[in-house]
Amino acid sequence: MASSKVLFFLTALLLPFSFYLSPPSAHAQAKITSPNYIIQMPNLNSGAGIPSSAGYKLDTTIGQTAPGLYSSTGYLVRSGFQYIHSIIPFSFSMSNFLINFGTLMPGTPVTRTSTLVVSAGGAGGYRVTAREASYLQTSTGKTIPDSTCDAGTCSETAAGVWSLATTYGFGYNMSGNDIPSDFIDGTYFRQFANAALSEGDQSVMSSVNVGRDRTATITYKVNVSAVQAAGSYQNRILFTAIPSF
Amino acid sequence: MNKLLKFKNKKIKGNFFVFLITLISLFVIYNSVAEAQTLGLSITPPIAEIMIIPGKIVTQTFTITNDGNDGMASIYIIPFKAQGESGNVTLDEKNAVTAASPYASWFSIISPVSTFGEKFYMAGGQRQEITVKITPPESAAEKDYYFTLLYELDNNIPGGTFPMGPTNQARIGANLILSLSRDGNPAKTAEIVEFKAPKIIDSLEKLTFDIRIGNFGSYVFKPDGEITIKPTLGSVETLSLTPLNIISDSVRNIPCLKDENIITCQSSRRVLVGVYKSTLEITPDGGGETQSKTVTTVAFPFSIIFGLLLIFITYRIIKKPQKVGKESS
Repeated sequence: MASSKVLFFLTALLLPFSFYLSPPSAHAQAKITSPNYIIQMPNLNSGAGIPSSAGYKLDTTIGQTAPGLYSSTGYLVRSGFQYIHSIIPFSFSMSNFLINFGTLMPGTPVTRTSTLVVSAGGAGGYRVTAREASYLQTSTGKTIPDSTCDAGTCSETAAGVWSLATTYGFGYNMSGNDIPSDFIDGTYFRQFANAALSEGDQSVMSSVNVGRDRTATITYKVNVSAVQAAGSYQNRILFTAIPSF
Repeated sequence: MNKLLKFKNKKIKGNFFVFLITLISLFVIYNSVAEAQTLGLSITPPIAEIMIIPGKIVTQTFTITNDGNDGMASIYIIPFKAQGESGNVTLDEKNAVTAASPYASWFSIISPVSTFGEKFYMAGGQRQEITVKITPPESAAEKDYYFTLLYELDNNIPGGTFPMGPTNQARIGANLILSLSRDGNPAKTAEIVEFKAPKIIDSLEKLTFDIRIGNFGSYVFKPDGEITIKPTLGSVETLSLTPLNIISDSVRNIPCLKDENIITCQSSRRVLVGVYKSTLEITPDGGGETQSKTVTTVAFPFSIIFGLLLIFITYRIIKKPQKVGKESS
């Protein structure tokens, strides 16, 4: 009787320890999460193990040592970047999305600016592209063409100097972080890629690095000649921000 | 006199009150206009990597926010390809997932709308979960498929009238890497396309490496590898590669990683002398065949010798006239 009591006591004492000492249960294989990185149904190579840092820095081997588990569930999901612990979402913002040039005077260039801000803290690098839907045009189809700059050489892919009041058209300049290198200074302009002419989107900001509040200023410029038809000219410019894969 | 002073005080107080009200009104009007002209979008997670058996179903949730003015949002799924060698994407917008697209049966949006491209209201500051169901058909070829989930926002135009000039729209994306595999263990092969270091460098220069790794297989992988720099004299230095995704049929520049910061692959030593043998070893996802390549660099103290020579010549030039002066006297 006494021995059974001792046995019960020992069992009660050792049982919690056995739970403590036993390897992690199937929970670890059901879902591993960190604020920025999630693995659902992971089959991790035991040789590498799961690095045990606060943020699950899974920068070693991820293999498939338990194909049975994969075949029963049918999928494996990894979200986020395994080498960055940041939880900042990928974000893009722009001030002044409505650009108003006001009344244009022939030979008097008008400029307006917007500020672009990208935070790719949890996304590695990124790229922001832009394209216009068409030339600046009136409802009756009259257009202000894209500028080819003073030397007639700038395009949607190459910037050129636009400083003469006798150079007409519409274009943009970039300054600030992560901008294309051909915007040497504030006198360099490009055309927007024109979707109506099947021109591909062009980068206005890009970086291979993790960045927070990367900021650039886009300056829109328009100048019309004396023969430009009167009217209200408008178009749409589409900015697309996508993180690196 | 007192009455006059009281009257003046009252007038000043009244003017001050009017001034205060005007200031507050202007502030409110200015802020509402500024807010009305701001576009702000965010999405998380920025990437989702999914391996799935053809015919199975998985749901993936993305969280989007509208940090600008109220507007109408819409969601699209568009295939992408690698653009350049820095991990950027180029969207194949002609093949966006629609009812007519070959991927129409693969994707369906569960919430907040039921069709891709369908507009839904997003108030300023609103967060919204986007749930997408992914069901690749059983007949789909076992390989990778790459898509971007795009969140587009059309902000309300204040006053409803367009001004003279352009109106900007914004879209933000999250990448979706979809690997179709029946056994969950597809073969992955990494190829070192380039591992370059200068053959001869000055001792005061840093040993910098260019690394380009190619994936000519059918599945994405992350290079698991390091550069080992062995000098003739001194201790060995090791640099870790950043485990960036290299999608199939692409080459990617791979930088190094130190404390979660992506850095140029560069030796940290300040003064180098002698022969340095640098070996790059990589394996795709830490498994599969190991690839390696070695480059040799000779570090010679050109600038130090040039500096010493310059000091010596300058010294001789300064000394010579003094000697000549002594001899003539």
